[in-house]
Amino acid sequence: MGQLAVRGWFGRKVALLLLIMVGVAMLWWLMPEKNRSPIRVGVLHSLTGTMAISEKPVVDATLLAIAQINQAGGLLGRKIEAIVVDGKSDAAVFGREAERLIVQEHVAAIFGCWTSASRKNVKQVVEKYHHLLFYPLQYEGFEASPNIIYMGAVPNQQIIPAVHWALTHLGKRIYLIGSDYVFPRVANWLIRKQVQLQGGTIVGERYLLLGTQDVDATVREIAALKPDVILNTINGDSNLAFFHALAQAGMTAQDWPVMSFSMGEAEVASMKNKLPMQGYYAAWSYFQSIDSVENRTFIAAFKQKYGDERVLSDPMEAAWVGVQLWADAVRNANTDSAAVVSQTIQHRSMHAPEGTVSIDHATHHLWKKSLVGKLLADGQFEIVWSSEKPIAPEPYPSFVSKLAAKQYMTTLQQGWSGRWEAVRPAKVNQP
Amino acid sequence: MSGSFFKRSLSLDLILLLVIPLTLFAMLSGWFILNTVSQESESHQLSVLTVLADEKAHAIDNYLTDQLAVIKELSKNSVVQASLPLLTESFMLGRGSQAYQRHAASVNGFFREFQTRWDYYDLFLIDREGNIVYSLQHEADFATNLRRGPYKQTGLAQVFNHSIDFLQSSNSSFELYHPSAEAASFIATPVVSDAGELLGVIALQLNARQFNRIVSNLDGLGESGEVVVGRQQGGEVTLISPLRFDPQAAFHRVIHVSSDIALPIRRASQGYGGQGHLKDWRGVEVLAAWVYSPRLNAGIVVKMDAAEALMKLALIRDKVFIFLVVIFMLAMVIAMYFSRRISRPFMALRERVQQYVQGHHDVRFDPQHNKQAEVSEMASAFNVMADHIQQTERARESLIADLAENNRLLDHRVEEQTEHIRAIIHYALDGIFTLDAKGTILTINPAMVQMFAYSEAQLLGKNITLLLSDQSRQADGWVNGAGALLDQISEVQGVRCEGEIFSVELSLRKLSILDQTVYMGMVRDISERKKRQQFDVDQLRIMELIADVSIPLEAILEVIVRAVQEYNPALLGSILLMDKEGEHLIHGAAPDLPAAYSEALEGVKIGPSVGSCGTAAFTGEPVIVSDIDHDPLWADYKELALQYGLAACWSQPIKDSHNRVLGTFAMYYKQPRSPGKKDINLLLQAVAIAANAISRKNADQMRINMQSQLEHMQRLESLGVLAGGIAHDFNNILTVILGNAAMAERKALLNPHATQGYLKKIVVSSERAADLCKQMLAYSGKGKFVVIALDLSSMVGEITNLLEISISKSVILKYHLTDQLPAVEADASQLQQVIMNLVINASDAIADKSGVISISTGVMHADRAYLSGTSLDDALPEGRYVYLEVSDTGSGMDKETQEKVFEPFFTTKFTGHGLGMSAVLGIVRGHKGAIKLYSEEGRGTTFKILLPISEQAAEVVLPAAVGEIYHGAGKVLIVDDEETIREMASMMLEDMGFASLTAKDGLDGVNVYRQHQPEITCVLMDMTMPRMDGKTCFTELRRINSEVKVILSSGYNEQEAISCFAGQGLAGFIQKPYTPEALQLKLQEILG
Repeated sequence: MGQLAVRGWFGRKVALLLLIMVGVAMLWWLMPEKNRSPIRVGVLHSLTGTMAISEKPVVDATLLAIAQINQAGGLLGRKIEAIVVDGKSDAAVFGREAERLIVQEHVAAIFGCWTSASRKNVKQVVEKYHHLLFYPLQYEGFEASPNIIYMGAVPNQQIIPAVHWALTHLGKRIYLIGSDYVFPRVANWLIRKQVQLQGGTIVGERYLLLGTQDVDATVREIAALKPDVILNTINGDSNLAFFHALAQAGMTAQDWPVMSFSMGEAEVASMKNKLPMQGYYAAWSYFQSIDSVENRTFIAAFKQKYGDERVLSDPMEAAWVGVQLWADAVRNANTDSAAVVSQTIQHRSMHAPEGTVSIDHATHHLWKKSLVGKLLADGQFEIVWSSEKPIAPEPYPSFVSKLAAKQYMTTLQQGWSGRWEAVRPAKVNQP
Repeated sequence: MSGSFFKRSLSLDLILLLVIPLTLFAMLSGWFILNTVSQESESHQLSVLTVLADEKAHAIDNYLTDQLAVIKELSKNSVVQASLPLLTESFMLGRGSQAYQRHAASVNGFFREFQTRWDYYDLFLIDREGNIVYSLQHEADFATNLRRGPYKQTGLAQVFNHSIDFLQSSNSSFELYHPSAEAASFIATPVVSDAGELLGVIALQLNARQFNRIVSNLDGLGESGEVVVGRQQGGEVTLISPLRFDPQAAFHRVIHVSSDIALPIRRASQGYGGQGHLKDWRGVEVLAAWVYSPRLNAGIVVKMDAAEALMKLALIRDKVFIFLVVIFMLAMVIAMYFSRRISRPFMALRERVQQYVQGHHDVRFDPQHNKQAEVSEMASAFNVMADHIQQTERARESLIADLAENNRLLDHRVEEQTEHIRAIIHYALDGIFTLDAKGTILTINPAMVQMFAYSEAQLLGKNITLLLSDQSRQADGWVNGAGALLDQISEVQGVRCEGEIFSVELSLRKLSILDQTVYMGMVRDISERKKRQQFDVDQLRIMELIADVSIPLEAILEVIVRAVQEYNPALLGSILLMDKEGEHLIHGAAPDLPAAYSEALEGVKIGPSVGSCGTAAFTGEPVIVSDIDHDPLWADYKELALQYGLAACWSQPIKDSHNRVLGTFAMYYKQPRSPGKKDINLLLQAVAIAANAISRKNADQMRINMQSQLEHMQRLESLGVLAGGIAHDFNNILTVILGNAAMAERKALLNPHATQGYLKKIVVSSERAADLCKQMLAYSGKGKFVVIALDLSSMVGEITNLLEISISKSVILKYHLTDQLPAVEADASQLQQVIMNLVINASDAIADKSGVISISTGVMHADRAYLSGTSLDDALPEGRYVYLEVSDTGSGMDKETQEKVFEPFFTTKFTGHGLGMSAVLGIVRGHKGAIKLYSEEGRGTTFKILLPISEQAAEVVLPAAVGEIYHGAGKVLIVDDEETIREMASMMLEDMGFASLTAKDGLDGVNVYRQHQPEITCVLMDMTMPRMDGKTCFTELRRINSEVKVILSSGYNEQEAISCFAGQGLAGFIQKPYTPEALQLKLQEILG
């Protein structure tokens, strides 16, 4: 009997243990997903070095989008965790950090890069790991990686419509000025071809080293050539020197119209107090002054998070839209896997602050509108022209053959000793 | 198991135990799986639809980009490059011009072939200015300008502008194109020459059929799938392709953006992607996914009826259900198998047990036979049990044998005991019987039979009431059964066979014997005891009689004899008393002996052989004569005795405590008889009582004699005190009588009518004298003890004279007598003696000092506490009492004296014999009253006598009438404490012509004299007075007026009186009682 009792007692104990184990397993299994680990994303921008001043606002916009999604309950029941990494304004560092984010941090996507140089380095990494990069800037085109979502405009969405507008509204005599690196070079190469087709004349073309303040010779040349319009692809604070020189020379916006392709609200904000910028033109897909519900909401959220004095610009908006589109794609795919998302994102579209944007599945670029804005006294742009509807992205404009483009690019790279910019002095500010 | 499937059994429990959890588990997991699967399935279907929507968008996009690629290639075609400038140039000449016709004709073949091959609707060549310079179809649009012409708003114009402005190829959305009267989309691309010159634009009108074919490809959308393509324009969404369920939808079905249906297409056409489970435009539940196609500028919705999309789910559900059923069945089968397997050993066990029960006690299990440990352990346990039972069985058998032996022994013992009990009942002195519930006698023992003097046969079967007196039957409820007599010992009256009623003690209990209710009773004859008790009661009564002094001895003795006779009716009792000389026996009591016999024996002289009594009295020993006829002691008297039928006589001497023979007690019997123990006891007891009675009565007699002697002596003593006073008093009365008589004599001659008043005075005074005499007689004890209802106040009032003459003249008597006092029943003379004694004692306590004695009467309520503080606390009842209080201002008494004050022969006076207060106490006791003493040394003493209030009214004493007197001339002050003297003197003086002033004592006299000194010619003054006597008063008067003329009047003789005033200038002396003439002579003698 005693033996039986012991056996019964032992049996009960085992049964109880089993029951507890089953209960724990059930709880684990039924535990809500929100308790699981967050989705990690990499935010890869220069927080130090010459690009920091331009890229930090883009980081802010990126983090705003992440914060908003988290606030709305996260993604797939999980929070998004941003791993903010410093690219140190060095293309090589960008490449290394991108690899680290993918391999060590196991991020689901990378939001980052500003310069084409850094993008091209990161492109190699994301293609190697079949990963995903959201690139927020307008650029020169001639690229379409399956692993990069290009949130910025390519020339056919920015430069070509703007040049046509300038030719139609400002005049046929055109002066080209730009910084001496890949984007201005390619842009002007295209503009030259367009102007030729559309009956204009290029009266002069000049490139400045990135960050140079020495613009007097150029301004003198412009004054001498008297172009109807100056197409400006200068990047960084050389712009300040350029506009300062124009003002010094008494060349007003009214008489010497300048159409800039790399000068947004953020850049103007640092200049408008020192110089009369009113009346100058810029071409973008987004201006802070766009009057739409989506944009007002976006501005309000940004200012609430970062302060009323802050302004928004096209790359910042593009970065914000990039995060939203990614999140939408993740939701649709029901997974954060970069490989899957890079597929499901192909037909995403949304009402962005700039208007309806859609990802072009063939090129991974965005369908965007083209806008021309005229600077007002408060540093905001008055939109003077807008394309009727979003323009299909054409990284390779149809009036330029891919072969010719490739040859031109190769030439440029060779000219710069295998790099994508002219050799410049140590201290350079390149937006 | 068979036939009892649905009864609770181990098998059923086991089946339930297995089936219920399995079924529950299966149902729960089924539910869970279904739930998960349905969620997953819907989510999966939505994913599938999203992919399909993406693919659809992809297909449309591909279609359009393919067309764009085609047109780009076409734009580079040499034919196009060459013809466009030619056509443009010739078009300027007019489209009917030969040049144009020629150029057009040259390219028509090429373009038509191209159109046919690729199934385009139309092909356009447009110059840089917007002129449509070439068209295959030559519809209305041909030769119009796209910048300025009627079709500048069309898709064709849009794609042209885009090509020419932005140098980009593009497409337009499908929309109704009026020139073609059908839906159309255009694609265009700039035509750039190799030389880098913009030649114009080439455009293609896309066939809607091809587009619709792509849209309508419903691969993967099953039976209910549908693709919706819509474009938002203004506030409306226009469907641009036919629907599966509405082939006419294209450009006909329009949805307002703010409508609440067709959410997917509204969202999609606005640029949103998404998916969901909702109702479509038909109101059917669908799963839908939607995307926006930027190239088409339209929304694409791919949807499927939920029913179809989730059809697999229903299949899964059915499968799960079947699976569940199968699991349930399987569980059932397994459960049944296991339940059988588990219960089989138990069945086997049951079989064995049944065999065992049927008597096969050798049945055992093979524990190795079963594999289950529990069953094999149970089998072992069964074996152990069976062994144990077998052993127990054997032990039981031997035990039974032992028990049988024991039973035999017990039977024997029971028989013995029964016999024993029967003997007890049989030989019991008490009657023992049993009754049934109705009182019918069931059994009865011989004592009972004997007690009631019936035979046993006479009683058995009779009702018990036969044996009870009518009275007991009624009183104790025997009429209605045992009732009140149950469970107690009660005394009832029994009736013997011959009718004699006697007391029995009956106890009755209710018993249950073999389910039958039976009353068991016991009766005991207590008639003897009762008699004894009666005798004891009599004895007590006799004792009480003895204590009562008023009852004569003979009466008591008679009661004693009767009590003895009552106890034993057969005897005749007789008490003879020894005479004072101790030689003769005289009659005591013999109520039932013949009177003649008693008389014959009266005064018989005792001797050694004088019958029983004479001998017994002589010898002082009991004399028992059993037979008078033959006893030598009775030789001289037997004839006398036999003559009255007296055959036996036992006599016992009655002795006092000093062994003196007081008499004899004899018991006569009419038959010769020897005394038993009981008789002797009775005799001795009777003798003891008689001795007690005789000696007590003798003692009482002695006490009474002594008391009367004492009282007599005491009275004599009081009389001694009284004597002097009485003489004085009588003299006063006589003075009045003589005075009035003389006055009457004098007046009678002149005016006979005037004598009336004097005569009346004489009569009153004479009556007072007679009263006084009566009082004295009464006091001296010659009066009878006469109890009447009297008023104490009146009585005190009557003896005031006696009191005043009995006390010292320096003591004032004060009276506080309450009128209308309730009567008390008392002997007046005895009470007077009490008052007298108290007053005299009070006076003695004051001695020769001056003091006051207060006599008060009244009514008071005496409670128990008050009564217990009195000197007679013999259980007097609480209540209202009349009191008499005598208090003095004398020396008082110490504690010791107070304690002894009522003892006889205790005295503090030199001359006293100490009987006064004890007499007072005796009298008060005799009146059932109480006496209370308060005393304080140096302050005085108060005696308070309480007497019970009588219910009769007091006999009224009427006050005496007062007469008038004759008067003379002059003013004389009369000082006398005796009012009648003062009055009489006043009358005499006024009759003589004097005016008179009076004062009631010396002090008063002094005061009056002081006030009226000039008018007063003479003072007539008494000698003995309270407060201030005559001598002191005279001295005082002389002090006021040394010439004062004072005539002393006194009952004492002249010598004695004047000796006190020797040499003090007393004017004169007149002896009381005096006549008017004597007074007149004295006055004339003094006043001249």
